[in-house]
Amino acid sequence: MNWLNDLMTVLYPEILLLFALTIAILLSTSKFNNTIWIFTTIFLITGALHIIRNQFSISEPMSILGGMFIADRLSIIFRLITLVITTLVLLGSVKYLEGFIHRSEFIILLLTSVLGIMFLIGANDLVAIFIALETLGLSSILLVGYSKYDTRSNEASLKYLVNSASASAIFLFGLSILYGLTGSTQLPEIKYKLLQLSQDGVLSNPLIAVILILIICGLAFKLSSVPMHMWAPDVYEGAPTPVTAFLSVASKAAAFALTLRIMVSLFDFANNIWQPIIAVIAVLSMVIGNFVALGQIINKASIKRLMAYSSIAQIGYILTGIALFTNESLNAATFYLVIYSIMNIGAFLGIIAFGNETNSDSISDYSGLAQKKPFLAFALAVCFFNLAGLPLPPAGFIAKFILIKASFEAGLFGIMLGSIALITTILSIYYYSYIAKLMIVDKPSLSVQNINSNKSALGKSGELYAAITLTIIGIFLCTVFSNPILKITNSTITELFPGNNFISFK
Amino acid sequence: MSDSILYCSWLIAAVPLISAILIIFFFHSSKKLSAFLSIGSVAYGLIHSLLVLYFTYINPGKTIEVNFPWISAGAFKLFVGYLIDPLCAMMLVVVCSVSFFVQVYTHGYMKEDPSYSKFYAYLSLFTFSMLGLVLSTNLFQSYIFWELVGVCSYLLIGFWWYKKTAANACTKAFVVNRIGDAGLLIGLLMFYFSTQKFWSDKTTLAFSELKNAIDYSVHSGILPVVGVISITTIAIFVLMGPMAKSAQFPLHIWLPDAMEGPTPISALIHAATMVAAGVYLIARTYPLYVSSPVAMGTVAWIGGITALFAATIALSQFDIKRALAYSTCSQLGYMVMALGLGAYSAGLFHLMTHAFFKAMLFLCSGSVIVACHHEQDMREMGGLKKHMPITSLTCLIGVLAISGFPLMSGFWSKDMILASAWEHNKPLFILGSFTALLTAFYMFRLYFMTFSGKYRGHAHPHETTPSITIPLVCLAVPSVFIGLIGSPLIPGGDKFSSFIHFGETHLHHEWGMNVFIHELMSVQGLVPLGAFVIGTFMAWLVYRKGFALNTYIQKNLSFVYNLSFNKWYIDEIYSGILNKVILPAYRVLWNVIDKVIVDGVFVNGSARVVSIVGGGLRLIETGRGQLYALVIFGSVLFSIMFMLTKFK
Repeated sequence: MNWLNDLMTVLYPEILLLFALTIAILLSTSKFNNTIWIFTTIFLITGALHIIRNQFSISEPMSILGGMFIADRLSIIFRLITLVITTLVLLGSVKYLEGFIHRSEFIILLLTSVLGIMFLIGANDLVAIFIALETLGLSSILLVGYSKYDTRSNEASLKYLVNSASASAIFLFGLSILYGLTGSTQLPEIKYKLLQLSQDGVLSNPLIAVILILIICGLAFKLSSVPMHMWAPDVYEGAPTPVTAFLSVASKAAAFALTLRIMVSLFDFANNIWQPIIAVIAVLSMVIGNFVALGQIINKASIKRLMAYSSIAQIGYILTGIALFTNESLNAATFYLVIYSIMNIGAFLGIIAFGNETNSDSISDYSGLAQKKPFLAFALAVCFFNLAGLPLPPAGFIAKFILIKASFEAGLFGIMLGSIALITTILSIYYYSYIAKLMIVDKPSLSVQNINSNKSALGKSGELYAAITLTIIGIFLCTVFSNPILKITNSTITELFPGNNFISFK
Repeated sequence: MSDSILYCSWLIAAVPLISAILIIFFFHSSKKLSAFLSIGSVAYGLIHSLLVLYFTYINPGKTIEVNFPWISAGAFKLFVGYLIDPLCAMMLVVVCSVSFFVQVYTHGYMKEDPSYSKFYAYLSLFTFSMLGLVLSTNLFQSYIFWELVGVCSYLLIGFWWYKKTAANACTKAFVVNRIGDAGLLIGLLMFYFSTQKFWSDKTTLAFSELKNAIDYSVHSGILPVVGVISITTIAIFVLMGPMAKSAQFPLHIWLPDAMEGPTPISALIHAATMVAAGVYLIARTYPLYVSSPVAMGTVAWIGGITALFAATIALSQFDIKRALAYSTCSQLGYMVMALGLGAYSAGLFHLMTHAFFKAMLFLCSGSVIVACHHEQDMREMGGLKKHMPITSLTCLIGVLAISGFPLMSGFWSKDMILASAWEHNKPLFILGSFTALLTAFYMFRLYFMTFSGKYRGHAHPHETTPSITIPLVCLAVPSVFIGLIGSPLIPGGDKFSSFIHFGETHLHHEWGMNVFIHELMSVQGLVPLGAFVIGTFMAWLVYRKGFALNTYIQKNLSFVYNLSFNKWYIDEIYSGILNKVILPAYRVLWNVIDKVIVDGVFVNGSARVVSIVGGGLRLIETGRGQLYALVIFGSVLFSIMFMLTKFK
């Protein structure tokens, strides 16, 4: 019964999630449907604690379900991040959902997509990867269209469906070529066969390039990086704000983990082919994301649209770390992703809170928020400053610093990418601090003036403000304990990619 | 037991931080609770630091250094931690005790103020920063806390921000400190980057490794002792930080203005602790100075000049707090001079004794100010001895201590400094002794003008409340007796120098009455004593007996008098330079470089480019789902074609 024991150790959080899902479905039609979020939160936190308690001590990667699922450092850490983010999103959505009739459906769909993410992160098999990806994709589509009487939400859902289907088709095409070449679906076996084929001289560079392009297309879609980014602004704007938060953080974290697993672990021998592709994607994401985000400021558009472009740009920074493919840069990228998750979820929670108060997401409505809701303005400003990389407090700064330092140490190619990252960061400082200035310095806008100041800030949406407070504390803690986090990410990278590889770009 | 107490000493700094956070976020509405939290936290710190001092004293060879890596990016690492050694233990006790008494005093002094809780929160925050600075293990960490104490000082000088003078004073303090801190940062980075290899497997810029680092760099030829980038230049850049913080000439100008802050702040920050932080930093980075004679000379002369210069200004000031501020400046000059002369223990000994008596003198002045209904001009005082017996007595003790009355604390420490000046540098000895004469004169002038004679003001002075007088009495005790630990009168001789020293020192000193008399009867013993007697006597003649020396000088030597009264016109010179040279040059540069080139080309130009590009790129976003899918397929197709042509 050893396998069952292993299964329980590794898949305990997923089993808890399934359990929560079942209970949620059962309760959704009963009169207790208001309590679903409470026990779901408890289950999520229990799962996270289980991972911290029982899985951090796993020293060797543990393979279960016949090699379908692997519990290595990467999957453990990213599953933990997913659970934490989901908890925060769930807390943030409670108040938001009060206006909807079918409240419980949201949590059911959220739990399905989290299950998809959890299996995607741990999947070590082509079939498992694709099924998990589709579980995530389909339930995200439903989540995006959750607000069904809102035409924007419907439109976003449809656009997401079309684009997601296209990207999935391309991704699946890549996987099928891989299967056709090697006759196996398991990643370690595929790698073994591929190496054998390339030694025999059967495997030609163009073939590898085609496979890589097809696979990267699917990954880039999930990461919403240029040129597969065009769905993101529309979907982010149309979707209910908690869903946007979930898509921009949890979904991206999963896609990042998958990218690391496929690129760094499976295709490390073909790095000279995929490095330039990812580098181009990274540069395009940084440039286009930041420039268009500035355009959003000029046009006083929706803040969710701005955040969509800003997260495109942030993914560009993270991809820089993967494109350089050195130990330090991969470590820096992983660290950046961890910090990015916290900062971005904090910003979105603030946007949810603002939306609850004013029913608006227009940038110009944020003006003068500090006079009515000082804590909210403070929290938002902290998140924005960190996203911009300003050291207040320096969590975001440390992440950017380490990333740019790693890229400057990775040869000429790295210096080029690092300089682009630096220059585009300067652009991003403008629009992030513009919002902060708007909130703190300017006169209150009409919607801010209409916030009912008698309602105490911690009154009805206590969960939301608790989540915001937790993220702010998290940012401060990440500043203080940056070194332990770096150690953890470093161990992840060394396990995934043992060679201290300094192969420069050819 | 002793180990766990020593290893927990980070709590001494952490507890005030917690109290500051609690007061700011939760208890700012309750006056009682905030005072209780703040005083309680520093009382804990005082007890803990006394224990730390005791355990360090019985086992002085044992230093504890704990470091945690904070940021590590490849070879570049930053550490935070805490270092417990004799110097740190002494500073902990000084900071905690002065802070404790000042906080008790604050309750009496600020009880009418509407921002009472905020004041306590700032006090706690300052105590935390100062203790953090004292506990730091490396230069980077000290730099962080160094800036933190600067921020607290800025906040507290400008505590009454609605007064224009206070707002200006805190800006001035901030700007002047910026100049010094920029120098400190340059020196620190120069040092780090030239010895980067040395630190690869050690705590970056740790104080305990400083000596080895310098030896390593000098021996391996990385850093010469003299040169453009050398130990000397690094030491002088680092010195700029202490010069600004410890108000040394020519960066002293902020300290007198800082007296616009509430009096407890003047006592705690601008007399006892923060201004002494500069001296403390010189002591911590002492290996840098010791290895470069030029840097040592610079330190000594800057200290000596400041001591004399500030004393001459203090002679003619009428504002009681400004007179005390210049005297602080002058005494800090003594400490810096002592360090520059190589008298490491003497400088730090004077730091300790000065902290107690100067804090007490400031608190006395605060008590007088309260009694006279916020009158600070000494011409409006006089005769307060009758009305305020406790304050006048403690003030007299402070005046005697600072001017070097035999057996009082200031006597021992000043003698130690002057003795080493006699040994190493005769001109500085003469300068120091003359300063001692001036010190005795202006301190007794202050005492006589305030407390004796007839009351010249219009208020109804009265003795202040116990929460003001009790700290005065408590601080009077160390002001009298603390000097004995460095004297030859106690068994075993000079305990202070055997406890805190730099490099090798003999642990056993001669002691006994004979030794004391023998030392007193030498030149270096008699001259300071004579200076004290002459200074006191002259002050007595002028201000008690009506011997019109002051009016004579004012009338017939008005040049000298004006020089002193107008603080040697340093402020005017600075503002002249600023207005006549820097601002016009700045305006020209602004009009040409900034407006045309930077603003016109770079900022507006790039902004225009960005908005055009941003607006253009936005147009791609049409909102049509088909187009998005087309872009996805198109980009995949394009990249496949591109790759295939490339690999053909």
